[in-house]
Amino acid sequence: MKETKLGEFEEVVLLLVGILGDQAYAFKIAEEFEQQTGRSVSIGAVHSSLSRMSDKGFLTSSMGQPTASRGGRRKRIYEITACGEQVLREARDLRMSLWQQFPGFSLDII
Amino acid sequence: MSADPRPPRLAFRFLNWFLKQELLEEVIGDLEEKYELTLERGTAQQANWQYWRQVLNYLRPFAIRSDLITDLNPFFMFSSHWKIAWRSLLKNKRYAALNLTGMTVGLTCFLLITMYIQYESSYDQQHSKSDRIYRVVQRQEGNMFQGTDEFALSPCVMVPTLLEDFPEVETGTTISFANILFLDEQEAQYETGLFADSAFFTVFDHEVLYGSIEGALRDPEEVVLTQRMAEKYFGDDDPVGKTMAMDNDQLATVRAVIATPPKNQHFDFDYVTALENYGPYPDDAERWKWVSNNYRAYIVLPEGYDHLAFTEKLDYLSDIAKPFYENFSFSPHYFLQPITDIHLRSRMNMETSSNSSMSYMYLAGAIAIVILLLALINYINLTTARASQRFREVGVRKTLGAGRMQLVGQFFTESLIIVGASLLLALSLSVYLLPGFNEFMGVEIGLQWLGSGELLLGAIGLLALLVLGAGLYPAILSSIAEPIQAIRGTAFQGAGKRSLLGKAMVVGQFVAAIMLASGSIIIYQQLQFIQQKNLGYNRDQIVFIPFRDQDVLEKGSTFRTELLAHSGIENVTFSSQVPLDSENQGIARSWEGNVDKREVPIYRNWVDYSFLDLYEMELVAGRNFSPDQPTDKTNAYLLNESAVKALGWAGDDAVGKQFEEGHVIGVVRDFHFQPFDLAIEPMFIRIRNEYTARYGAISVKIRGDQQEAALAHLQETMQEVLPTIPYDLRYLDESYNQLYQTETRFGEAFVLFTGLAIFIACLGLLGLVTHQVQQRTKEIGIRKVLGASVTQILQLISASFLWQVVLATLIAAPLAWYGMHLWLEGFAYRITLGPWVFLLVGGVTLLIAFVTISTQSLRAALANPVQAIKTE
Repeated sequence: MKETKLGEFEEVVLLLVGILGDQAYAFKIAEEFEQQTGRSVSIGAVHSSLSRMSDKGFLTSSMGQPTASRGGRRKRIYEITACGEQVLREARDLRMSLWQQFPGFSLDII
Repeated sequence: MSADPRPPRLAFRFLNWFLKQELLEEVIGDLEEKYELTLERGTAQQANWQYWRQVLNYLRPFAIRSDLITDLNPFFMFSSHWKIAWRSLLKNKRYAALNLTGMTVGLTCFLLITMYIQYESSYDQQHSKSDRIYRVVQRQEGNMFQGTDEFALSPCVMVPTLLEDFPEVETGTTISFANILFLDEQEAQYETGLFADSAFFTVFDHEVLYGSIEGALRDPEEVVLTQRMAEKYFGDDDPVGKTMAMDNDQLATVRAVIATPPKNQHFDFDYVTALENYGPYPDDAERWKWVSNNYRAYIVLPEGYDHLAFTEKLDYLSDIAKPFYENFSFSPHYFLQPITDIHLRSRMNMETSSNSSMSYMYLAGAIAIVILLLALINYINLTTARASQRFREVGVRKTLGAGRMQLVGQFFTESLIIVGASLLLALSLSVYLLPGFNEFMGVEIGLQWLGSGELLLGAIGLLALLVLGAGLYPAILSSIAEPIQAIRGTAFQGAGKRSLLGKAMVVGQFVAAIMLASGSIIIYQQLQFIQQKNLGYNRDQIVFIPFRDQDVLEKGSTFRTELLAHSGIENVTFSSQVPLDSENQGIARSWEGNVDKREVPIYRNWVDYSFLDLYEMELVAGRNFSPDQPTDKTNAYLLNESAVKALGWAGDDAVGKQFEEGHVIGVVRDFHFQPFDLAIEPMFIRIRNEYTARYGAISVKIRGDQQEAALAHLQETMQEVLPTIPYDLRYLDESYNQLYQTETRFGEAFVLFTGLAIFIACLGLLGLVTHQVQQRTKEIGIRKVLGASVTQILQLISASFLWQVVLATLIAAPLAWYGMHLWLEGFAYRITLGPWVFLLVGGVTLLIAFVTISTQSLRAALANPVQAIKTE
């Protein structure tokens, strides 16, 4: 039974995970979120979202390398699963379809 | 390299505490990165704040430790805890009942007393201008009267003068009181009239029920009734426009009806009418002016105005008034008094009502707190005792994996049930008892006091907090017991620290109970003493009827003869004062041997020949007035012993000496004609004349076994011979007791609440003893096997408790003695404090304690020792 709904915040976070690649851990994602959207967000909120999406099966994660700046602590790197990709695609398709139907707005897709 | 700033330690530790184990590493790491990033961009302060923000944002369900979550959610285990709590309480009905009773009684007392204190503090606050209405009063330096030289009076010219001279005085009113006859069908009744100028309703707010008070009090032929009086004379009809017969010949039209004045006000009245209607007023306004001290003056100052500063401005009035006082040896000094201060802080002469005092408020507050503390201590002791009996349950639960928080939650829920039930019961009980309480205390507390008032809400809030905390203590205690030991039953066998605290609390309870008990006994004694002290006259079986402005001199003898015709009547006398509360004071200036031209204030009483006989007053020298001596009517004086002393005469020599307009024919033994807390002042007695006979009272001595018949005859004779005097019958001993109303009521209340406090303490004792005995069942069994007798076992158990009681008595006695000593100082005539009261109370307490302990331990002592040892 797959949960296929994706909230707006979740969608953004998921996209950011894809964008950040092997730098996709909670802190970095939060920073990127703030930079891209201009909205401030707490790491906890992002973490919570990541955790939820992991439970839904859109993400997997593994512990990465420790770094000095973290006092030798490892970080948890997240990665989008095939399922996650699927759900992202569905969301994008839905958006585009709606925008195309929207009167007086041309959408040039490259 | 300098030390780098680190993230705030407290936040770090907090995070470590609540975060899930598996998330710790990554979260701490992320947060550190964020911290350093913020440091780069800003100050350490900002970084710290940001760190805290991040930490707090991790307080989310996914990240919090699971064992914390289940307990932080109050509803998670609540239903299970509730069920178990109920069952546990039902199984131990006795414990539950004890705890519930003690707590409910304590809470109810606390609530009622708190309401009472609030009520008494609320006097005169119902007017919109209450916080800036001031009464203008005076101090007459040199005129000590009944213990103070302050008088709650003003001359009638005060308010007009102030209004004219001081623009900051917004408004002011002058009022006075008098009892006036009203005709109601056949009967004539005295009603209390308030006479006021037309500004009265602008100063004091009154709810209008019928008619209108606009422009009222300008017309002397109008009257405004209170609802109470309107219903008396007109039933439920609207009386506006109707006429009433006032004061024998005057007619007045009803202009409006206002709500009956509430009891928490410093003056009371039945109707209001124009100041011009007040008898002495025309003369006072014209002639007497600054010495016309028959009035009460009130002024309204602007918001926030300093009334003390204003008082200083009133100095010049003393100079204006002085010329009017040239015949007196004292002069007035005027000052302001906020009306909200009157009820609790004013102890002047001529008050308009009997005031209470702040010390009673403090005392009431102290009692309320003591009772509450007793109930709380009880609760803690009982609950702790109970908890220690359930360690086996605790052990099992822990073994099964219950977290500490869960255990606490369990006990907490039980505590909640008891506290909640107590609170509900206490509230209902308070509502139910309120009417009785009102009557007992002589107040009129409405139900609205229960819900309103910050004091009350704050009290309940504090209470809830305290009690929940009290429930927490045993809960935490039991949760830290080691499981295995708990199951075995060996946990907390010798917990030294805890039992010391427990013992201290028990001693504390007893100290409070003993103090209260001894205090009650002493207060009761003093009140009895007041009642029964030999007053120098006999006040049994005497009734009196006061009258004003009546022509009784001529009819006096006819009345007497007619009245005495009945066998039930023993004696009759007319006098200007009844020996109750004399206010008629004059000045003696001329007597034999007064070379220094001294002046002595002296009380006066004008009587007839039978006065001394009726009151059974004793002559210590000389003789009584006699009808055989015609000069007695004009020249003779009787003095009391204090007068003789004040004039500087030796006791035996007084007879025959010149005094004022005549000479002394006899000396009367001192008798109390004033309230008890005052020493007896000088007084002279003369035969009444035409002028002085117009005001006073008829005293009648009645035979006890013919009381009803005699009173009926009295009433008939009154109708016949003196029909113009309203039959306002009073009993001398009742009126006497009324003087001490406040003290008596206070004493009774004190005794009542003491009883309750002792009751609560005993409940606590019972619970504790039961618990102790249960704890030591095994020990008792073993001792029995080893040969101890029942008495020895009893001694063993009682010993520990009894020394606590003895200690408590030793502590309580000096404290109580000191407190009572202070209270008794307020009485000029008082009982002496002896040690026997404390010995008695201590002894009785010991007895009660011993009985309680014995009944419990007897059971254990008589039990089969084998059974006892077998029990875990």
